[in-house]
Amino acid sequence: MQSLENRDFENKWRDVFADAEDEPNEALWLSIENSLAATDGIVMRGRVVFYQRLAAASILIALLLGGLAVIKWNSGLEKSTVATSKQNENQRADAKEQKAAGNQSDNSSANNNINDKAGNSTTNKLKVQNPLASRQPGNNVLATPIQLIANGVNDKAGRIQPLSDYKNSTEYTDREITLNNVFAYYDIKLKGKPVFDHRTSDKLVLSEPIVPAKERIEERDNWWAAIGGSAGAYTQQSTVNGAAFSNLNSPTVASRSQSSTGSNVGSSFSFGMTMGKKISKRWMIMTGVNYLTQSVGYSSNQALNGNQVYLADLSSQKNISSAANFTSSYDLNSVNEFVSIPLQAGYQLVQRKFGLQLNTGVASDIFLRNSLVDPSGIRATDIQTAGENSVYQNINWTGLLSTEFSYKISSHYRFSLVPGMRYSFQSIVKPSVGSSINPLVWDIGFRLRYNIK
Amino acid sequence: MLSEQEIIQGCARGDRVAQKALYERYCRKMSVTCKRYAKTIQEGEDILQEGFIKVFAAIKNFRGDSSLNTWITRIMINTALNAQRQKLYLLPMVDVANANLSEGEEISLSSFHLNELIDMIQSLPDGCRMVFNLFAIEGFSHKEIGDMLGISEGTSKSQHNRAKMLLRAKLESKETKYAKFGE
Repeated sequence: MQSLENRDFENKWRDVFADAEDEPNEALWLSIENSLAATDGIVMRGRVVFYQRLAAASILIALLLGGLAVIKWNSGLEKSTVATSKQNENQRADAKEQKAAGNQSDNSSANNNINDKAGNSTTNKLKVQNPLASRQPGNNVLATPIQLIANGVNDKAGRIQPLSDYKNSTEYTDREITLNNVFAYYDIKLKGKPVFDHRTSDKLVLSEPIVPAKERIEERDNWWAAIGGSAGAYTQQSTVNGAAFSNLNSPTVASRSQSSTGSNVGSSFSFGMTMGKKISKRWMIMTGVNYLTQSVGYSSNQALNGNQVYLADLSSQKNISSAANFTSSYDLNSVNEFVSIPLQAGYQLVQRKFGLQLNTGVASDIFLRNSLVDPSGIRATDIQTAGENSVYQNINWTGLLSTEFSYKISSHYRFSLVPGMRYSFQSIVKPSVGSSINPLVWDIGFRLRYNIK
Repeated sequence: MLSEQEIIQGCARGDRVAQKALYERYCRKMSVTCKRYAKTIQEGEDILQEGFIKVFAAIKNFRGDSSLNTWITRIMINTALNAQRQKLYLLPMVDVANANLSEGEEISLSSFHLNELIDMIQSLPDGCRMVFNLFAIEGFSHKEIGDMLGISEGTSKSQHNRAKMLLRAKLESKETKYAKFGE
């Protein structure tokens, strides 16, 4: 009976306040509006910084692509030379047939003409050494004399064009096409500079080796494995700055504005292994596994039960039963640990001793744990792992973008520096927290690659 | 006149007109709630302001599992509890002896003005005020209150009993005063 009476007392109060209304201060909305405007400004500034960095990265990529275009334009001339080499092999076969037909005397005459430095030959029936078709592996000396039908030269597509076509060109005004003219044509096609000295030696010497096409094809199927690591700056791209980190399912979780403030820039470290495979001449795919840690400092003025670190932003369900009490301000570090599995595509802009490659892709970051650590050691560390009760997402999807500068240190090993960025597409905290955190990392990594041949 | 759904969507986009419409719709009701938990009127308005900022920041996560009114009220309560937590830490709640409640007389609240009742609640000690609001008016159990405030269930009960005793005394005192002046 007494209980019922007690309940009656509470019910009366509940009824009174059920639909009770009271006019608040008129100036209150203005204060709220000012706070909202300030919040919007901070969020906007964060976005501006992000887009500034994105613009900087875009410019860098544009510059790299521009460099690629120049390199590729130059190397296009070299490729046409290689194509010419194949064509000349066919010519060699034809020439051998001609040999069989008994043109031996013309052959010796042509060799003599090569040594004729004055280059005053007037014949249109020259036979010369092909400077490209008979390269010996590992040797820049063209040792095998072959015949070239000297009344024709190869165009860029490798087809033989009659020398008569060049007689009327601006480049070849002399009506008498000489041996030097033929070599000059090759010079232009190869590098725009003298490639071999036909005036001083019987054996023609290339100024630099031309990699046979076959060798390049073999590299396409290469698998490689690498170990590496990276370090860089880590920022939390939070969509709200103020009192928005209330866990709405719990009335006990403190608001961020009252309990903790975060420094903007933290640090990020990672290490792991990567493996990749070339899938075409310039494209490759890569994957691997990395351990990733992201750390950022905070200043908090709350602690759990007076002696355990507490950060309202990262409050978890387990904290519901533990009151977070206000204390004097202290520093704490929030450290997130992930296992990251990247899947990337790489495009090789330059494939020489020095290499340049653009990489992009996604990574699935598997959340391991968050540790709130008091650096002074006074308060106990709070560790939160993944799971249903955690405020952290179990898996986060992250976008990756990097540039890889590499140096081939031996036939099997290549060392790379990899500046890049990673940005989390989704918030690393669950929506129920009331806001979002999208980590942005700018880092520079290294990679020691082993080519499996 | 915006519908509730339009207000929610507008607030999620950060539309100031929608935010003001939501404020206009709920500020009076929430003002009472915040004042009940506060020690003073000014403190109640501070809680109300901070609570609405939280609402606007978090409304994009509102899933409609409960009514918007319930959801906003819950945020206001969270904000109020956070604001009071420092005081509760400095003056922790302890068990008090069960008061001898005089249950004989029927007390009516209808003769009191709303502000008088709010004043009475505000005059309660911090711990009692929190527990009384959560138990008597919000309808939480003592176990839930214990979890929220980091106190035992027994402490919650004893604080509530103390709050009832104090309120009953204030009500009787006021009634006597009104009777004396013929009101």
